[in-house]
Amino acid sequence: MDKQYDEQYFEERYTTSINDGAVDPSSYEPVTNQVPLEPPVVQHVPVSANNGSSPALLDSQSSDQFRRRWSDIQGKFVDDPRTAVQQADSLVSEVIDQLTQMFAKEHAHWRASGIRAVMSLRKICVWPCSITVPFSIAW
Amino acid sequence: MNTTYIIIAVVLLLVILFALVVPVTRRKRSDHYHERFGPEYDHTVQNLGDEKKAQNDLDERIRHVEALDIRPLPVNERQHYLAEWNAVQSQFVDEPGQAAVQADRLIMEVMQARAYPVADFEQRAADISVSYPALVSNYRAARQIAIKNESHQASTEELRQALIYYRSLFEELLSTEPEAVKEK
Repeated sequence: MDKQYDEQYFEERYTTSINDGAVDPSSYEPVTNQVPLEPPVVQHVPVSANNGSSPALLDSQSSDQFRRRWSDIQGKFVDDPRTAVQQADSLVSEVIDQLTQMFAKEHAHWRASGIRAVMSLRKICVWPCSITVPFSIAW
Repeated sequence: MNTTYIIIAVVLLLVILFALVVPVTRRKRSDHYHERFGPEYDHTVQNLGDEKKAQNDLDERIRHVEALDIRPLPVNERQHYLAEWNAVQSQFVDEPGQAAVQADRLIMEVMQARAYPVADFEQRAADISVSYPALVSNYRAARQIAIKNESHQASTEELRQALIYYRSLFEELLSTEPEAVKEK
């Protein structure tokens, strides 16, 4: 793992996910729209934890898959509420497991490459000083 | 003298025969309607207060449905309605009352698409009792819950039950031929 890889990894992992999470304020729909007015038109706005205000933690493939499984479970509720709740519980556990594993991996990665990362960050900080310091001495 | 006795004996015999045969035929007729309409027959008798009236009413229902030109749904329409049903069922977790309203609406839409007249509930139930006699009691039970739901009196469990009732009918309405025709 070289420095270039670290920077690229950092960029991909965080910059893109933060950009993905960026939201156009005009696209916000107030939650109050959920209350149907006259005539009673149902406007269902699902309220999710990740409504664009925070970066996506899972890649789109996994989150799509989880969402699909969730809506299957929700559809089953009418026929068998007990099983649906059990399945929902295991699905939530599965998501939490995946997130935990992902964080553990991230943590290990940053621990392994931490020094190099700090060095590269320091360089960015040091570079302006390296220009100004000789001047100050000369002065 | 002898002739008078014979006449009396014959009349008595006829009266006894009549008294034996009439209940049997009446019973047979009643069994026939029972077999054809199931619990709906009892419901109609109870509603109209008389077996004869109920039987006439059910005969009238059969004539009404036979005069209709009920069509099966094409595959694409069937898929469209199935997708709508799945959406309604998923909606239940978030809004059970609204999901029950939507399920009722969907039943009406499918009936309309199949060329059943959908003006009022009793007419719809009457037509369903002819085409799907086993399911009309489900439709009535779901209707009772829907009425309770209008005044926000229905519990979530009742609404869930209503959705199951509606679906039993919905699935049959989506199939190509009515239950009563399939049996023939």
